[in-house]
Amino acid sequence: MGHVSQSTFPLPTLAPLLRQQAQTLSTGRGFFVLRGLSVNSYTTSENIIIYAGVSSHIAPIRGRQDSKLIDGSKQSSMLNHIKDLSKTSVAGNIGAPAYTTDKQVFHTDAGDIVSLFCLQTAQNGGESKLASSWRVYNELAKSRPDLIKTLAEDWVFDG
Amino acid sequence: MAATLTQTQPDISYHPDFEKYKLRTERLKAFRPDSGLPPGFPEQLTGPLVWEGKDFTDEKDWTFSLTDAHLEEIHNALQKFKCTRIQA
Repeated sequence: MGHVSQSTFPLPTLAPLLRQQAQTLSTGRGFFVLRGLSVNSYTTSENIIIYAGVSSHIAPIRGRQDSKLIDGSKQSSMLNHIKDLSKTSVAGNIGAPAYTTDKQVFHTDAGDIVSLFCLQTAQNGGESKLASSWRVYNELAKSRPDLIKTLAEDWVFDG
Repeated sequence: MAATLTQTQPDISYHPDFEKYKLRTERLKAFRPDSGLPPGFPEQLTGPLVWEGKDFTDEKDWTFSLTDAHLEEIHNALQKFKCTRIQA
């Protein structure tokens, strides 16, 4: 997976269009929806290669987040599956509502650009909502500037 | 009567409650330093990144739809990547 890049996943005519969308992300409204991938024509691993390949033309460096103990060593992941796991064997280890049918609150993830790849439409719900972080800033700056100060301060991590 | 020293958690749930937030903001006003924004932080941000839901009405405005030619290109890129991996 680490080898998926603009050069190993070339998209001659699509790449410039994806670069335009990347411009929208960094200097425009900050989001866009890509529609039309044929998810059902491919295996899971092929879909992940397509996901990383198309994404590489929008943002070439993939970030990682989380740290889990896998096979005895701490490993981070560059993608997470958002799926209801509450009826599965790992139910006892669920640490976030992303892995349940519970609604998730507005949040930010680590990374300059984050993306969601929809593999399957939910039977019910499954809607994603976005907020403008700059609009949120403006609201806080006006009504609770003390919160901006708190958020701008250093965060102390334990461990 | 002796005051209890038991510490309680603030009434804040995972799913935010705007009414409770407003009450809490009001109740704690007196304890909050009126510090204003940290130095160098803008009063307000302006530009295309400032928006609200009502600013977007047509899904086409924010949707990029792939054509059959694009899908073929993606399919070819996938095949190329898989071949590269076998050679490596």
